[in-house]
Amino acid sequence: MNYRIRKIYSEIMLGLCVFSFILGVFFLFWILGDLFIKGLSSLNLSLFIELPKPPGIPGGGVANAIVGTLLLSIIAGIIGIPIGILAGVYIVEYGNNRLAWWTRFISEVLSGIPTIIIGVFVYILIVISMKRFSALAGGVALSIIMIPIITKATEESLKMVPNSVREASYALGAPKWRTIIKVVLPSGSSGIVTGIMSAFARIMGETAPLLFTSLNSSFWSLRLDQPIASLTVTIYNYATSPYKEWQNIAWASSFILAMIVLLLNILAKYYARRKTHF
Amino acid sequence: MQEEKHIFKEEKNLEKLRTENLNAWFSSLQILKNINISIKKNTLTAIIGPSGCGKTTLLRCFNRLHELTPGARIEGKVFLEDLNIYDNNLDPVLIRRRIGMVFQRPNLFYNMNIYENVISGYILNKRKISKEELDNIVEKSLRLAGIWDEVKDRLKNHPSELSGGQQQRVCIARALAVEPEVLLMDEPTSALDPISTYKIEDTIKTLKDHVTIIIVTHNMQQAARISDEIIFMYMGEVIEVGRTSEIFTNPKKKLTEDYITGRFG
Repeated sequence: MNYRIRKIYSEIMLGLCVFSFILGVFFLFWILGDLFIKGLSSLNLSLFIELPKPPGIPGGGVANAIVGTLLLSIIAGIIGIPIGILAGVYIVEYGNNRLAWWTRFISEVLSGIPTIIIGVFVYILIVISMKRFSALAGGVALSIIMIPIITKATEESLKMVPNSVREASYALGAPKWRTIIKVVLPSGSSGIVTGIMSAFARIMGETAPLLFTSLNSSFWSLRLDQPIASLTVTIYNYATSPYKEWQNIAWASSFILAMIVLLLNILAKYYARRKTHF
Repeated sequence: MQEEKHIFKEEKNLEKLRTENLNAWFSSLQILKNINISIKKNTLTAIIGPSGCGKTTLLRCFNRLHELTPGARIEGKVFLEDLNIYDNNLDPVLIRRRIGMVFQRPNLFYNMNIYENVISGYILNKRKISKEELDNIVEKSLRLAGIWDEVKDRLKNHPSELSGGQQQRVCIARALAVEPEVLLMDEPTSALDPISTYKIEDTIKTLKDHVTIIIVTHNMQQAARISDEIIFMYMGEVIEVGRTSEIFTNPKKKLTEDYITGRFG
């Protein structure tokens, strides 16, 4: 192949790359643009402070759904963050055996399982045995989605911590567990925090696993053993309803949710960029 | 006065570290073959030899770091005074508190500032000590490592602000802060420029009165400049041990002579 053909070949490939990029960005901006136009126009204060109202009655908000999404995320975090981090620590720091290999493998499989199946699983495990839909069930379902994301992030960031730092700690007479707590985890903390943020951004947008775990609610509720509203299920219900006002609320809720997720992603990026000394 | 001097002299000749038929492996590859050496208290011993001869492995056997590498295995005994550090009932952690180490490249903890790095031996071992005492330890250790004047105004800063040579001297201070009896140094200047090397050599020479130092080095001039005793290794075996002046002027083995005159290695 002579130089000219190679050059043309390169140009064609570059063109294909640029085309794919534009295609991707085009749809992203289309979605975001639609969301901005329709979401912003329906946005108002009552959305943040009022409870849902029946169709036909003006006003009404999704305040309880915002609180519900936050509560579900907190439950998921309380369960998912420690398990995710511990599993990641196990894989990297004690990972010289078969069990660690299986831990990593199962974590990877878990991250590929459709979330609706996780929802069914939690429905059978918790909803049926408790005989009611509950915030707890929703939180558990979301935590199962969170775990592999955090495990992966922990694994990747602990792998970046150079071994020489661990040896420095051992050479000072520190036991392994203190080395992990005082040196390894703090050194990899920015990557772990990034992973936690991305995991939250991910679970906040989940609908399927909540449909038959936390269900929905039109009232204020902070009880873990009762159904609870969430932004995603509210959007699902309202967007598919025949009423114009409800559809507008769905647009506004979508906008709020998108902004929360965007903010989390930006925070995650910010943390990822902080201190990378190694 | 006369008598005191005598006692001091005798103490200098006391044995600090001794190996007995020490063998070490990486998986099936034998790195150390039947090492029997003795190191005197408060002397500076240099281990020299060509690349891959087992210098670093030998050093890492002295504080039980070798066994942390997957696949690594050890047979034989190492005595720290009367204590066999490979005794089955002994926690290696206790040995590492008595035998400090400085590595080939500076490896300060980047999640701590300079001050915390120096006292990290106390933080990591949860030893409770008053703030005043810690301040004293930090100053004393940094002075011993010859870097106090350069860092005293920025103790709370991040260690990445320091140059490689400065970081390595803080590493020395960190190792000294826990007052080890033996200090192992694995080519501590190989990653540094000549001026930093000179400063660290200066530091090492003054440390001899406080601790027993064992240094691995590739650099024969360095070994000649700073050490009292030399251990020459080749292919996992100790070929010759002796006073530095003797090894360099009158080596007993042909192999030693060939190595120090630069015929191989």
